[in-house]
Amino acid sequence: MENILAQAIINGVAVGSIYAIITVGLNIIFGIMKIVNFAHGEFLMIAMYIIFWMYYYLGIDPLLASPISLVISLLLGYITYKIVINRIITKEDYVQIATTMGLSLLLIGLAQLLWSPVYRGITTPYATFGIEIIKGVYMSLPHLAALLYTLGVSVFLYYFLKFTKIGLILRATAQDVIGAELCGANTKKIYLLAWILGIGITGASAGILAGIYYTHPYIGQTLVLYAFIVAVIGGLGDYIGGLIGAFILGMALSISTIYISSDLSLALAFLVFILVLLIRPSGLMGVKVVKRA
Amino acid sequence: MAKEILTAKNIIKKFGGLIALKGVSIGIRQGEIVGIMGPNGSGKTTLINVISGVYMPDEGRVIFEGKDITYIPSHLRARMGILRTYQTPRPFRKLSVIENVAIAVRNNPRYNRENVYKVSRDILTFVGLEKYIDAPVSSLNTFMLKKLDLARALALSPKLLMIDEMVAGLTEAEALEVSKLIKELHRQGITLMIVEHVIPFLAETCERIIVLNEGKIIAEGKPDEVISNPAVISSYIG
Amino acid sequence: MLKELSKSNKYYKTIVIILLILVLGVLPNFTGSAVIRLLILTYTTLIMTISWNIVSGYTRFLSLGHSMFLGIGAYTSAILYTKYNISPWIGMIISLIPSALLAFVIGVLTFRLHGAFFALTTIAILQILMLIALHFKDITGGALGIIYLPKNDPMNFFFLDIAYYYYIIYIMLLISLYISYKIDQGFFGKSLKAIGDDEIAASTIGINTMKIKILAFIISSLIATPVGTFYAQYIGYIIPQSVFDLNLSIRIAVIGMIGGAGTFLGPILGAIIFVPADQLLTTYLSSYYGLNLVIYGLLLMISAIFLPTGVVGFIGGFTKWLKKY
Repeated sequence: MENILAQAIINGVAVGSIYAIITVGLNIIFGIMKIVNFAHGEFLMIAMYIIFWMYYYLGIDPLLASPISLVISLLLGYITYKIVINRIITKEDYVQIATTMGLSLLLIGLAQLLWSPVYRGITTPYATFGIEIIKGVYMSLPHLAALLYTLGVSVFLYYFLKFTKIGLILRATAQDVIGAELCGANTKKIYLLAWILGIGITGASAGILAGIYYTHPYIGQTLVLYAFIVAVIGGLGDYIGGLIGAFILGMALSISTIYISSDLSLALAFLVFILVLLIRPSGLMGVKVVKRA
Repeated sequence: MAKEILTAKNIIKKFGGLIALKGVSIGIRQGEIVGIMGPNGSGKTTLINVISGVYMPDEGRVIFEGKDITYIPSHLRARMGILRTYQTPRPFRKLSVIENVAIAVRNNPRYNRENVYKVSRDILTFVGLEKYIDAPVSSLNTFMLKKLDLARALALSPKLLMIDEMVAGLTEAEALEVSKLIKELHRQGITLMIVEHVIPFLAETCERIIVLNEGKIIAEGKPDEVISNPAVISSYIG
Repeated sequence: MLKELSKSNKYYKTIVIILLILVLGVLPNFTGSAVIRLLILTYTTLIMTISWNIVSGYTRFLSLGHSMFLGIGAYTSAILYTKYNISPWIGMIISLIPSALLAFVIGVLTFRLHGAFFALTTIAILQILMLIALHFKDITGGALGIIYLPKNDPMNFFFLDIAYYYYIIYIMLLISLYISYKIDQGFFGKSLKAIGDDEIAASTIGINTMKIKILAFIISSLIATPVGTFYAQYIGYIIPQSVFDLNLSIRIAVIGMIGGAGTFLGPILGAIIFVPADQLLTTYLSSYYGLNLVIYGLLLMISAIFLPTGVVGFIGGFTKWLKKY
């Protein structure tokens, strides 16, 4: 019994890190640009397809191909920013949601057109390897990779935001755009950076995720929904809150599957979301979410 | 001496790390015309926002006609007679000029359904927009939009009317028009709080001026006293 | 002169509309079942879009889970009939209660927050409802759902002739259009538009924005829910995924946004263009799976950025431009 619980916790940590990867990207974009990116999952989805095709046609291992997925994601982020996103920065919530939704539909449609809705799986030789944490409790290599990636990104972001000049400007813009502008920040470039950073962080994980999940046009939608829930729990816009929220949710889901059936545990995730809205909409980190005058 | 219609006691309002109002207390007497001035960022608009209910203060109280309204939502304050205009006009662009006023009149318990449009017309005529009654909002220039803002505020029979930087950017003739309107409103017994940047206008219109700087009141008194106050002068230049 | 012209214009318009209503009303006598099916599909989508528009179009709080009301309408009446023998006609009315309550709760929870919270909550509720329907097999039939055998039983909302279903949904459409028109033209609609434009300014002129938004959402739910009951009776078969359908919810939102959010004609134009077009695309370009999503996505982005009032705004602007010449 003890081992089952311990295994569930390990699984929860693994799943939590996956949610965390996507949530961090979302939070960076919302925190700095105040845009809720409904298309966030689709960037991940496209990166996963790139990884898949490289594995399928060139035999490149997905984990090793991660740098390529990073570059592709950065590029895609840049293109979408220049063509679409920079036009909606000053517009109301409605326009931003509608536009990112449209982008999401466009990307899913393109994926279906180009690559058909068939589920693609990658089974790497090491997929079933795991390390034994304590007696009888294992963490698979792909899950370990996800956890390491999440930890690595967290450390990177922490130092980047706290100690570099650009990081300071990003944080200032997140807190108060007008103030930051008055101090000389070039908000257009900041927004571009935030967008690319958010997309890039999530997209770079495609190599890891392609080995865990099937690649198909709707995989982005599936994963991003959890990421949104996590972001709300942790506080929309706060990436540390998102990290904490991700692990909490991951473990809560994982542990609850021991006691209740798995389809209900999904409903549980959504219920937690609603509970958070009820009690503390600003999430764990207390981010302001009410409209300003 | 007339009773105080509005008292703000020790208002503190913070936005994250920025403290916009650092303990502001003012008292406005029934029927007064009070001017509020101060450099950009001194907290003038924040003060209006706190009194009108757009913001709740972090500390302090707002008392209107003897009632504590600190946490009462803005729509109820509007119906109680606390109205305001906006520094940058905020008309409803999806509605026509008269509809903008009409939906405000609709919330005024004094008028019933049948009179709403007639009352709206009267108000628009009063502010000088009678030629634009059925026009779309997009056909109005900035001055007219400011008058529309004012008309909307008047639609709820204000007891306290707060006007946020209406004169800045207007021509002399337009400023004169505004001055006449304000004097007429004063004559009707409406208490006025006028936030303004254009100092001569304030001096000429108000009985009393309060000066804000960096979230604190630094001077208060008759216009000529206040304007010649060295602290006031340095806050604008320094 | 212009006044007389517009007066005669008004009479002309009213006559055309009455003719249109009558013609559409007797259509089943003259066309085959394929056309009737397409029209029924168009009408149901249109009513859902009208419902969506009342809340999301005017207030700009986007509902992305509107199918939840369809599902509540379908399951409530189906369960009441199969378990308790209550006629679906009555079930249709009873199902309004849970929908209205749900709309109220969602509104209270999320209308004070950034628009994205409302959107996400509608999606979350939709998924929760679907999962509940899947899980409680004894009541809802679980993944297998609820099946009706075809029969003729008008007192219980069963007809063998498709024409009757057409008449019923047609009347429901007319009622929805009437409600939508009254809202758009009246003070309630004007307040909604004001809230959508600038909520803070609306509150400072005495509009209780929370109350109005919640009311709009409740009305919206009341219009959408009966369509669920109709759907259950017409299709004869409901499963969780078909009535608590995220894709359908997004499609309704897309139609509403592109057609013209916050206008009376928007949903009409949107549905009339989209439903047949979508059917065409699915039938004839089935090998180009995903093309319809690409087109919707592009249209949605273009309309969101350049034409916030959608096709209606575009036509309106176009006619204004024409009038200049």
